[in-house]
Amino acid sequence: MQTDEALATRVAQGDELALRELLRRYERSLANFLHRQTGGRDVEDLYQETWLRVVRHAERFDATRRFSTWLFQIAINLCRDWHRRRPPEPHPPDEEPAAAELERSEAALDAQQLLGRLPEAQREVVVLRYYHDLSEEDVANILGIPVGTVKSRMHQAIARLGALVRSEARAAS
Amino acid sequence: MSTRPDDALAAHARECDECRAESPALAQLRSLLDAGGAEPDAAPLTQHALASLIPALRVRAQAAFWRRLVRVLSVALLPLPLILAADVWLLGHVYALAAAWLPSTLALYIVISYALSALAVIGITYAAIPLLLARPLQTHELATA
Repeated sequence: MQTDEALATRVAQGDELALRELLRRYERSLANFLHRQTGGRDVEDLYQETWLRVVRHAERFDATRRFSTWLFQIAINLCRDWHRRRPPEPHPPDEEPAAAELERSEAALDAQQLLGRLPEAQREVVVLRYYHDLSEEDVANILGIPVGTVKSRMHQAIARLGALVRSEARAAS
Repeated sequence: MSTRPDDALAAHARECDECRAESPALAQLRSLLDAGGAEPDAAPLTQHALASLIPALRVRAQAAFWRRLVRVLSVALLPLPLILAADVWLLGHVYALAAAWLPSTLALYIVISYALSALAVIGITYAAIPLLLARPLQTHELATA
């Protein structure tokens, strides 16, 4: 099996099979990452734009580095741009959702709301560390920051989320 | 506390006394984060993305092909003056030898025939270069069609 980096080099030569294989390997993790970064909005556009940049800039990819790091760096930059020019929140639909669906969406909304209340820099660290199980070193590489900064952002995020959870629990009781 | 062997919250709590002291809040936080696991269906996203990626990839393939062609042709053209000079030298000797034994018209015919054959072989060899370079791309296109 070819490595991601070898496939990326073939993509730079216009190899369609290599691109399809990279898409297959990363479609789920990239879609989930974008979903969590944007709260599920404009995921399709961001997903498409991420891969377009991979194709357009494939010859700039340094095959001595990890492809996943490069891919998530592109996605992170696109998400940051998206947050800067974030479109207004869509209006909720008029129809009443089914009870099970409502319960599920409420649970999802809680997690999304929690992540949404974090500053962008902390949210990026939480999503990459918690949901993608990346090491602190990998997160540091993707974000272009020292490992110590990853740790401190993780700490700040946990403290902030913990405070939110406690205040919600107090409000509920 | 967690279904994952070493999630980021647990890993951080191990290193951080302050967060470890917040264990109940961390457990609650983890369950909230895990509950938000509604994942988008990536397959349709990939299908839509491919529609716009394929033209971009073709542009890239074309550019890569021309770059490779220029590189290979410039290397292949380097020995051409030497080949032509050797042919001209050989033709001169063949003509001198043939003219010594045969009528000059027949000697000229032999030399011209040889020159045309040599030019055809050289031309075909150089014309085959872009065809050979394009072959792997066609193979991949056929495989994905």
